[in-house]
Parts: sequence; C-alpha cells; structure tokens
Amino acid sequence: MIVRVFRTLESAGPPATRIWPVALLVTVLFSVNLDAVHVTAQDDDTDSANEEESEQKLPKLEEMTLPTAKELLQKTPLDWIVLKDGTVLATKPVQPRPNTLEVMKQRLDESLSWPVPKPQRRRDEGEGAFRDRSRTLLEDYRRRREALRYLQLKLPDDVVLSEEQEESTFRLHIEEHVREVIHHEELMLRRIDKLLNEGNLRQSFELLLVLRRRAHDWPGGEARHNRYLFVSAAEKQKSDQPYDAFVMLSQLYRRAPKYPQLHACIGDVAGGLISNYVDAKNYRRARYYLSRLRATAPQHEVAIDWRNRLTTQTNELLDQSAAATREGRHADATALAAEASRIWPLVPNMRRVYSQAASRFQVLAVGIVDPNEKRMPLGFPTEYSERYQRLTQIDLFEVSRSDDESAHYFSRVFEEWTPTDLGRQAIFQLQSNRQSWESHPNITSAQIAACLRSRIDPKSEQYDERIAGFIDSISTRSPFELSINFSSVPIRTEPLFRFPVTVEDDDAEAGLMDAFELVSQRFQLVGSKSKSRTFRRAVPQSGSVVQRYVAQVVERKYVSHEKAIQGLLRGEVSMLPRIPAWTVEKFAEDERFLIRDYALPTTHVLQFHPQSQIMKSREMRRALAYALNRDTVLSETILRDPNSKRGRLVCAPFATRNYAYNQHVPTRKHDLRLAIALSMVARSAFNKELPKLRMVCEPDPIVQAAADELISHWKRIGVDVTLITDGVGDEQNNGAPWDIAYRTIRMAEPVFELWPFLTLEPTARIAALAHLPDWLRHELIELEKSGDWESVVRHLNRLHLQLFESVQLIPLWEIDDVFVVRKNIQGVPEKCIHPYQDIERWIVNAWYPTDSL
Amino acid sequence: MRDSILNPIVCLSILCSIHAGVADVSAQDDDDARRPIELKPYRVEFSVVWGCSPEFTIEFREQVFREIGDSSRRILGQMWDVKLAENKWLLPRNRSGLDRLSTRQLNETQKEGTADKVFLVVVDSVDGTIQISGREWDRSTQTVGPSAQRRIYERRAVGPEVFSLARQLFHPISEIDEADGKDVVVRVRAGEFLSADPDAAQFRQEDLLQPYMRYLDRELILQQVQMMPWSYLVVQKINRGRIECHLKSGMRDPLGGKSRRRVEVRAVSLKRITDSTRLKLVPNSNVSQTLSGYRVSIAPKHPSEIAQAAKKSGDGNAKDADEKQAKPKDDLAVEYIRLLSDRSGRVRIGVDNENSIVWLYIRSGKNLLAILPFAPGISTEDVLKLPDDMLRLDVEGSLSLLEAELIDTVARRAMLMAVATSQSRKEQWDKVDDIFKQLDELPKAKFFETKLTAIRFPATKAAEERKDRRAQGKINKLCNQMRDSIRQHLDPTQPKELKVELDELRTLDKQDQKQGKAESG
Repeated sequence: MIVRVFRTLESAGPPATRIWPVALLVTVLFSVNLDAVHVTAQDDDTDSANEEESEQKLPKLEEMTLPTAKELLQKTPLDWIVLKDGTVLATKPVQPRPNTLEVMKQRLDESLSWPVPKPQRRRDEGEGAFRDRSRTLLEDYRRRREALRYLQLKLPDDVVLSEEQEESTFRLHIEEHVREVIHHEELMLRRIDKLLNEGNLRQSFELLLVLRRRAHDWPGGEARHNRYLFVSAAEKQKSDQPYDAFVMLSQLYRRAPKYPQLHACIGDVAGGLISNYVDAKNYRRARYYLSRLRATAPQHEVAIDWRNRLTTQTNELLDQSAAATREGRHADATALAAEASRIWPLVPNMRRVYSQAASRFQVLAVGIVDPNEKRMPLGFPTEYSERYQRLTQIDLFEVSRSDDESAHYFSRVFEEWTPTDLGRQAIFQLQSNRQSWESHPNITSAQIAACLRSRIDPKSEQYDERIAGFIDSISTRSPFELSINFSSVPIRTEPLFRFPVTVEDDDAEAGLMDAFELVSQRFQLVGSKSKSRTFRRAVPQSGSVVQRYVAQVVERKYVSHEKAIQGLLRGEVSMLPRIPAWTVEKFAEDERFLIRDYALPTTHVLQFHPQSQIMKSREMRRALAYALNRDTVLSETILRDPNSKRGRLVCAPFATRNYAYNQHVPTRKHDLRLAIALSMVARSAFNKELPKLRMVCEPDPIVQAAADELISHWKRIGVDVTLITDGVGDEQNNGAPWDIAYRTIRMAEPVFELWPFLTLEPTARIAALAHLPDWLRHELIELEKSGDWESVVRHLNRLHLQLFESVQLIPLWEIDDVFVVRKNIQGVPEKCIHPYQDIERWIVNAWYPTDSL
Repeated sequence: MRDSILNPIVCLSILCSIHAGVADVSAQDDDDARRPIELKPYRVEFSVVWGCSPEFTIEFREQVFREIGDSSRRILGQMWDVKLAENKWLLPRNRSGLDRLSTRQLNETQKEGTADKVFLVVVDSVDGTIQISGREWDRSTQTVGPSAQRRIYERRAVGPEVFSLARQLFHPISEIDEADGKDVVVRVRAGEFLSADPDAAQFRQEDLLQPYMRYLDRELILQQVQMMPWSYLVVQKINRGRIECHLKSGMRDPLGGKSRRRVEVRAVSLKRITDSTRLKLVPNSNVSQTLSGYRVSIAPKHPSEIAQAAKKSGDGNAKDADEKQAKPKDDLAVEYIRLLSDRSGRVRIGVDNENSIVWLYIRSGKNLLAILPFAPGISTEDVLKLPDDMLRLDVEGSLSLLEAELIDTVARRAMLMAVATSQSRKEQWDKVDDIFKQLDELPKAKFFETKLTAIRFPATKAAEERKDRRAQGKINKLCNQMRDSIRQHLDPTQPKELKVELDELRTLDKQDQKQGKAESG
C-alpha cells in the first residue's frame, strides 16, 4: 500500500526526471517520537514479490503520537499529511499555510478564470515555429493549472534518498489523496492544550512563546494565550501568589474582557488582596490594588464596594480625630488623622481635619537603617546609640557648630559661666526661666552639684576619673548659681561637662531601677516595637502657646538604605539621618526635599581590641594596614563615584580640617608585597598559623559591604577574618570578644574625645590605657595636662603621627554625610553636629501623601 | 650564744637601779642615760581629753585613770612607766581636734616633757555610745602616728578600752646593735621587762621594723630624725631584749658604714593599720608634680629570689641573673600584679596576707626606674620619689616609630630581592632591572641614621642642659642600639652581591642565546 502511495508521488521536476529510481530504499522517520518507519519504493518494473517484502505500512492517524514539547521545540518542524485512507505522511512544512487545502482549492477555482494563451504569429516566424511556440505556451498553461491540484512536499531530512533525488520535490494530488493537513503549529497548539490540561504551565508557556514568535497570527494562538493566562492565574491563586494571579487576570482582561468567568475571577482575586492588606493595615497597598482593579475594570462591583468601605472608614476616623481634638486628646487626634490619611487620603474634609490635628501635636517620622534583627552589643558607641543619646538627653554643654577647625559650645542649662581666679574657679548661672519650646525640665544647681559629686566620688558608679582629676570642690550659691573650684585648670571648660544631669535614684537600692535617674531629659522613649520607636518631649509644650513644635519623634526601622529612601519618597517618614553618598545629588535636585550637611564629616576607622592577643603584634597590624586598597573601596563601595567627591582618605580618627590633624602625616599606600612579607613575620610568632580574626562593624549595610570588601583584601595576604553580625557572645582570643572593629565617628573635640575613643570606654581612665606603649600613654596624659592651646595642638599632632606610625588603629576615610528632610519640616539648622540638633524648635507642617504608588 | 645568757652588764645595772631607789631626780636622769636600752622602761603619758558629756564626772575620770594604771601594771609590769594627766590644750576637744594635730605641733608641745610616748586620747559621748579616739606621739622618732577609734556601750569599760587602744597604738622602739649585710641585731627598749601577759609582748616573729637615724649635736641634743626609706627589718628570732632581723631594702647597704657617736641608728616597729596603702609617685626634681600612667608591678619576691627560682626551674637564660634582676619575667614562678598610677600619680597597694613585704617594680617604657620593698597597710598613703624619665621615654617612642619604618624597609627589600631572584630564573631580565630600580629607591641606612641623629641630638642636648647624665647615657645607649640595628639590617652589600650574581647569570644567559642562534643559523 505504501508503494502505491509512493507511486502517486510524482517528481515535481521535469518529465525526464519523473521516473522513480529503481530499488530506491527510502527510510522515513515518521514519528517525532523517533519511531522510524522504513518505506521502500520500487520502479514499476520491479518484481511484486520483492515489493511485498520491502513494503511497510504508513501509520494511521490514530496511531500517531502527539510530539512532546521538547520534540516540538528542538526537532525539525513537520506537518502531518493525512491521506484519504487515514494514514499519515510526515513532511517538512507545506505551503501555503495555514489552511493549506482551502487556499489550494481557492487558487484552483481562481485558475478557471485564467485566460487561455492565444499567441500571435510574428512576421519572421515560420509556421512550424509558431505551432511549437503555441503548443509550449498551452502546455505551460495546463501545467500551471494542473500544479494547483497537487501539494508540494519535501521529505524530512532524515529520509534517505538517492543522490539524484536529494534535491527533488515531491507532489501529491490533493483531491485524490489528501484528506487533511495537520500543520506543525497545530501540533504545537494541541500540545499546549494538553500541557495546560496537565497544569504544566512552564512548558506550555515556552511552546506558546515560540509559536507566537514564529506565527503570530496563527489561528487558535490568541485563544491559547488567553487560556494560558487564565489557567496560570488560577494556579497562582492556588499557590498563594495572589498578586501574580491579579497581574495575569488584568492582562487577560485587557486582551479579552469577555473571557468566560474572568469578571468574577478578577473580582475575587483583587478583593482578596485588598482585604488582606486592609486587615494588615497596609492601606497603601490596598489602595494600589484597588486602583489597578478600577483601571482594569472601572465599574467592577468589588472596586466600588471597597472604595465605599474605605471612604466610610476614613470618614469615621476623621470624625473620631475631630472629637479627640475637641476633648484635648491631641496625640490621639493626630494618630487618628494620620491613620485616616493612610486609608483614603482623598476624602473631602481630610485636609482640614488632618491639618488641625497635626499642627497641634506635631509628629516627625524618621527612617533609620538597621539590617540586623537583634541589636548586638559591640562595647563601643555606635551611630545608633549616639543618635539615641542625643535625642533623649541634654548635656550640660553641647557642641553647637564646628565650621572652623575647633568646636563651639552652647548650653541649655547654663545661662552664663564666668571663669575666675585665672581659671581655677568657674561660676555658673543656671537658666531660671524656660522657653516655651524647651523640652527638658527645670534643673537646679543642687541637682548639678549632686551629679558632679557622684562623678568625682570614686565609690560612685558614675565616677569619672578625668572630672575628678580636675574638680577640687563644688558649692551651690543659690538654686540657680553654682561655683566649681578646679584643682588644675582644664584647657577648655565646656567639653569637660559634656554629660547629662543625673541624680541618684532612691528606688535603686531596691534594685528595681538604674542607680541614677536622668534629669536633663530631652525626649523620652514612650514606646518600642520591633520596627519602630516612639519618643515624646520630656516636658510637653504648654496648652496655651500658639507656636507649636515637634512633640513626638517616631523612628522607623528599615533593613536597607533603598527601603528607607522608598519610605521617604512614599511619605512614610519625613527625614533620613543619613543617605548613601551616591543618592545625594538626586535628592538635591528633588524639590520636595532639603539636604543638610553635617558640620563634621564621618570618619571610618578600624580599631583593634585592647585584649586581642594577635593584634598586639605590630607586624600583624602593619600587614593589615598595607593590605588594604582603601581608594578602591572608597570609590566603588562607599561612594560609588570614581572621583570620590564626597569623601577622602584619612590617616587619623578625626576630621582632616580639625586642629588635631597633622597635615604632614602621609597616608599609607597599598603595598601588597610588603603586607605579605609582614604577615609572614607575624605568622612566625604564632607558630605559622594565624588564628581566624573576628571583626564587628556598625549595623549599616554600606559599612557592612565595605567591611566585606576589606576582608577580601586581607584574604589576599592569607589573613582570614570573619565578620560577626549576629552577636559576640562567645569570647575568644583571651577575653577579647572581637579583634577588629569597623567604627564610624564624628570627633568634635579630639583633646577630650580621643582618649575614650582609644580605650573603648565612656570615660578617660588611666588604667584603660594599659594596652598602649608607655610613650604613647604618657603622650595622652601630657595632652590632658596641657595648659595652653599651642601645646594641645602640638601634642595632638604628635599623637596623630604616633598612632598612625604605630598602627594603633587604621583610619580609612571620611565621608561628607548629609541628612535629608522633607520640605514640610522647618527650623532645621544649616549644618548639624547630629541629626536631632535643635529638634525642640523644629516645626512639622501638616502634610500627608496622596499618591497611591 | 649571746641569745641565751643574760648580759652580766645588764644584771649589774638592774642591781644598781634597785639599790639606788631613793636617789634624787637628776641622779635618776643620769642613771637613765647610762642604763642600757633594754632596761629602760617607756615613760608613757596618757593625755586624756574628756568630752562635754555630764556622765564624765570627776569620780568617773579618776576611776578611769586608776583602771589604766592598774591595767598597765598588771599586764605590762615595768615595761611602761605610766603617767596620767588630763589634757588642757587640745582644741577642738574632740576627735576632729585630734585628727588635725600635726607632728610639728606635738613636737612643740612635748619639747619640755620627759615622756617617751604620749597617748593623746579623746573620750566623748556620741549618739548614746562612748567613742574613744587616740594617737601616739613618739619622742624618739618625733612623729605622731595615725589615729584609731573604738566605740563602746558601757561606761565601766572605758578604762580598759583606753589602755587597750594605747597598746594598739604603741610602736616599740629598738636600737640597732649589729648589722652584717642583711642580718641585723637590734636591742629592744624595755626588752628585758617581760610583760605579764604573753600576748602583750613587744615583738613577734615576722613583725616589721623601720630603721631611722637620729642626728644629735655636741650636747647630744636631737637635731634631726631621718627615716630610712624603703628599708624594713623583719623579725626572725626573739631573745628577750635582743632580736635578730633580716633586712629588706631598696638600697644597697643602708645600715653599713661607720658608726658615729652623734648618730643613733634605731628602728621603730611598724603595725598594719589599713588594708591598703596609696603610693604616690612623684618626680625627684619636682615633688609638687605627679607621675601618672607609670607601670607598677607588684611581686612577692625579690629579684634575686626570682632568679634563683628560675635557675631551679631549669631556665637556661637565668645565667645572667644580674641582668634578670632588672627584667622580671612572666614565665618565672612569680605572679605579678600590674597597676598603673592614676591621674594623681597614686597606686593602691593592697595587703598581701602571706607576705608582709612585697616588691615593687616601677617602670617607664623599657626602663626600670626602681625596685623597692614595700609594706602595704602600714600607712594610708606614702610617697615615692622617682627620677624623671620623660626625655628618655620620648626617645624610646620616637625610636619605636623609626623601628617600625625600618621594619617596613627591610621587609620591602627582602621581598624585592626574592622577587628579583625568581624573575631571573624565568629570565625576565626587564623585570629584574625594574626591581633593582625599586631597590635603589628604597631608603638607605644613611637615611635612617640621619633620622636617628635628629632624634638623638635634641634629646641629649636637653638632658645635658638638665645636667641629667643618667638620662643622657640611657638615650645614647638606646640610639646606639638602634644605629647598630640599622647597619645590620640595611647592609648595602646584600643587594650589591645579588646584583653581581644576577648580572653574571644574565651574561651567561645571553651567551647561551647567541650560541643557540648560531647553531640554528
């Protein structure tokens, strides 16, 4: 039978080549599932017995296996030609396509109207030549019409043909033999259907993608795509990915709004999403999905329902807020109005009620970055702890500015202070009246005297060796006057008194509270959650004052700077105390925000633990210093700016423009060879096996990234360092909880701050200097004893050189940090020492975000 | 031998004294002067100040005096010759007045008196209890001791308690009889008058005495008393009035030298009055200043004992024991307590219950400023004068920085030489040239010596101006060590030799290449 089929196959070539090759053995691989069917064709003259032997049957359509997705994608495309007897012949894609048979029939019908060629005899043409030409034209006319009755076929490449036939094209009479043509694309569609039925979305999507790329308008492709979207959405919904489901249904809605069950389905999915986010009080996201649903299906009943519900809820909250304002519960009123603005900010009376509440009780939301889940005690002040201290306490003296080389001080406690007796005595006049904006309680001279006495009493927990060394006696002259006699005259009085006023707590004996109670409170912590902390004025503003200032500060925690910036842009917070250097220019261009520089750059320093045995090795410290390519880390990781505009390399732990900075000290250059040599020397002292070093750093993503980079530099010289981010519980290396610390500091007054910084202690204790070489220790002591500013600068310059040369620490770089506030905040100083400087006088104008994105 | 037999002279003196019981006062004074110290009882005066409480009636006071006399006779026998008197001059007449009394004030007050020991006692009523405070003044040392207090709840206990307090405050006196290196024999005042109560003996084993010298004029009138600092006698063996002691001193031979007629060498007993002593470190040149941040190590043993311990423990390095004296090592079987003097130059030294005397090592950088014995708990505060070491310490710091720079250079040089050798093996002669160029650019020994001179010269000049030859010598020694180190580690011949060697290799390499080309051509 197969032979018969092949007899019907005629070469489409010239008549001379129409003869079937003798004993031609054709092997056709019919099936894409690799089942080979050998077809043998023989010449008419061949023996019929031999024909029977070599004959193999073509498969029936029912026997054909639908090609798998892999076969459809990877193998040569094949069309199935279904013959009249139900068998299938697999060929290379036939033309025209799609609807091959219909198109061929149409062309054949059209050919009936073709004009029969009627040639004109030329003058120079003979009779015979004219007849020949006329016959040729007529034959050509017939042949062209006849060709429309045949389907041109190309056998698959894996069918073995003779050399003569390799280039041949075969044809098949359509009316006589062809029942149906199943195109390759159709096979793909059938496979897609099957895969969708099986729930294999990935492969169905792949096939659909290829199909749409190859034949974008193939009949049935669009329908399959729609079906794919619907089925995928259902799957996503099942696998708890409602957002993905919503996106797919939205897409489907745009393509085919009347797709069966789509309307109900998109309502369910969007409704579920909105409901979830409303339950989680994430109204912004709820509004987002609601707006998307409305954009997709404006009149969808779910969208209308949710809009009404949220508007109602908002109006209720606004009513409650207005009631709270009337009752004098201003904090509640602001909280309710803020909650309402988060739910549906576009209700008509929102602006009026919100402004009324938020102006009366002003709340400043601040975004802070802390990637760690738990706060790890590091044993030294961090940016986090410093910020907390500055917000919650008022020191007797505070640094107000540092625009030139030295620091300038002011006091909220003292009205004036007069040195007498050549500086051996100082008389302090306390402020007797409070300004309406001040947030700290009244402080009396007795409280300050008690505080000072506790600091000079060696038995007290608050004993401060340095202060005790300077103060001889304290006397209170009146509730608002105090005199202090100094046993030795400090070089500056103000930095000596940079501490808050505390008094001994009577309840402390019972062990219920800390031994000392903070008196000079600024803001106090009133609530703490895992992702936020709330502070309020220690003394609220009086009810009668007209001008109101910040009453509450809410610190929101974000895991990264990117998230914090998102929070600022969305209006969740109005201030970021620090932003990455590479985003500064973008914020500077943004008219919604103000950029404020810090008065002092942030210096990044590597410090060694005094108890770490390995860090006592001078060679080891030098090896670590030489191994660092600081320039690269600064420009690529910290600033992401090849020109490093907002930062520079330093060789001291204080700012380059500070009086203490010795400009003659050169920065240390990266020298890998020397680092390797020095590390080998250090290694020999540890039996050629260096212990693994432990490093801690400030909880900041940029600092952690830089720390990782530094660790990779040390790895090159064979020093293994681990960055600890989850806790320093188990103490190793002879009691040192860590070996290296990556610290960030802003040192305003090195003459007083350098010592505690080096010893990792809050006060300047001589015993804490034990780890330093004697000459360095004495230099620090001499610095404190200095009687004139010239010798202070000389000592500090010398200390700078000594610390640098002896590698007691590795200064890295300083960054000109900025903080950013939304323009609705007023009263922020031009240059701040810390992010909460003068926060008592900041005004937060009522503002709430109205966008839904 | 001397220990067991009562000295015949002493016996004779006793007999004489008994015989002359009714002699007149002047004769008695002469007799006292001739009498050996062991037979001289203490003339003790109780000068009692009574508080303003009505409970201290005249009868009560007389009764207290009687009880004190009785107690003295009963417990101490002839050791004390007690005189009791009511004090008329102390102001304010309370404990504060007592605490405020200065040595000078008491010396003036007691100038005309004859008492060897005066116990100033204040008996006062405080918060319903009776508080007894007292201080001891000693004629021999011309010093007043620290005050001590007791509080009692019964009036009848006042007499015995005052006497008990006096015994607590009492510091026996002795005269140094013989001194042979570290072995010293002293004769104890009234040592032959044994107390009736054995617990009231003047000395016990391991008790401490501090030697002092009394300078007299031609009329044998006391001109000056000088305590021998950082020297202690530890009681080893007691035989009535004679005691054998072991000397511990920070000085080489404090009791050596000729005995002079007008100099009396005596020793006073030391008693522990507190749990710790604050030792204040001050510079020799200016005692008004303090030495803050100085390292003070406390060891229970003398350096020589440490060296011996090291020898026993088989430490081969202990051969140079003398050198070891200046370098107490951690690996020896001695535990050190390391302290730093605070801002006022003080260190608090706690009492060691196993060792009444500890050894102090005071250091400044690599320099050992002093090794001293010290008995903590004897006084609340003591002062130690030390040489000013700041100049030398500054030089040590500067040299440390220079040394760090030197280490960098030496390490760089070694690394470059190693790289040059490895590159020559790969026949990368261009790179070798480049490395030698880098080697040439490295600082040379002369560079470091110039820096060394810049450190040495101003320091030695400053020491010369201060006439501090010791500091000058130490600075020169440190600088010379550094100079030797520079010359040793930056020896210019090493890179030169390497260059010659590599040049030869390069020549051979070129010849090989030429030969190879010729053969292939």
